[in-house]
Amino acid sequence: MNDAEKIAQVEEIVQSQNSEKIFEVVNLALSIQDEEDRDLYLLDAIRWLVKNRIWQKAYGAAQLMSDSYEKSQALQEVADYLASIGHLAKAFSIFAEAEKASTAGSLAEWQKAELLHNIAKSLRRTKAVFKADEVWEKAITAAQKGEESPSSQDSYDSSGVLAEIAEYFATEERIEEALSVAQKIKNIGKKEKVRRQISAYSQQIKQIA
Amino acid sequence: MNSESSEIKITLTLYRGLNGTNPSAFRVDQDGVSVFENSLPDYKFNLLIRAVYQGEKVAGVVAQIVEPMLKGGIAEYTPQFGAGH
Repeated sequence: MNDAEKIAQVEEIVQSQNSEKIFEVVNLALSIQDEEDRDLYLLDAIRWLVKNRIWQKAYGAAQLMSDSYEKSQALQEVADYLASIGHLAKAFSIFAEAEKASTAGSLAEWQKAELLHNIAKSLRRTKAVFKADEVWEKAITAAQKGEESPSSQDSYDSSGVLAEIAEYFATEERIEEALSVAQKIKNIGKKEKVRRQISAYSQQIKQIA
Repeated sequence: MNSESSEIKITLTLYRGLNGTNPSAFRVDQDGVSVFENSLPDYKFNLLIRAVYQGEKVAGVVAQIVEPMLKGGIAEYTPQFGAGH
C-alpha cells in the first residue's frame, strides 16, 4: 500500500467514526513514509482518539511523532482533554511535554511562539495562571527573536504572533500587559493596528464599568 | 478618474516562503496569510500565487487571485506592513 492509499484509509476511518478501527488507525498513520504526511495524519488520528476518550493511545501516538509543530499541537490537545476531565497532574505533565516540543530546532520562531501562546491559553483556562504567564514570556521572547530574522516573512509573522498575544491580553482585560506587548512589536503597521484594537477593548471595558 | 488606465489589468506574482507542506507552514491571522511581491530565498519552497488588479497601485488596492485552486481569493496591497507586502 502506498502513502496515498494509507492516507485515504486513515481519512475514511476518522470520518466513519468506526470505533472498532481505533487500533488500526494509528498503525496505518505510523506506516506513512513521508514524515510530514505521517505527522499530519497522526494528528488527525490522535484528535479522533481524544474525541473517543482513548487518551492513553492518543498520548502514545503523539510521543511517536517526529519533532514537529504537529507533535506539540497533539500533546497540547491530549493535555487539554485531560484537564477537561479533571486529570490535572497528568495534564500539566503533558503540557510541559508540549512546551518542550514547541522549541524543536526545525521550527521557525513564529511557529514556536504561536505554539507557546496556544499552550499558555490552555494553561490559563485550567487556572494555572502563573505557569501560563511563564509560557507567555517564552512565547514573547521567541517572537521577538523571530522579528530579527533576515526574512521579511518570518519577521512579519513573528510580529503577528506578538500582536495576537497583545490582543488576547486585551480581551482578558489585561490592558497594561497588552500595551506592554504591543510596545515590543517591531513592525510599525502591525503595532499601530494592535494599539487601536487595544484602545477599542479598553473603551468597551470603561463603558461596561 | 482616468477610465482608460483603470481598465488595464496588471498581473502580479506573489510569493509565500514555505519550509514544509503542512498547514502549520502557514501563519494565518485575522488578516489572512502574508505574501510578498519578491521571491523569498531562505525557504525550501516558494509558493507562487498570481493575482490581477486594475487601477493605481496604492495602499489598500485589492487584487483578485487567479490561481484556479484559490479562485475567489483576494490579496490586499498593504505596504504599511513592509515593502512588497
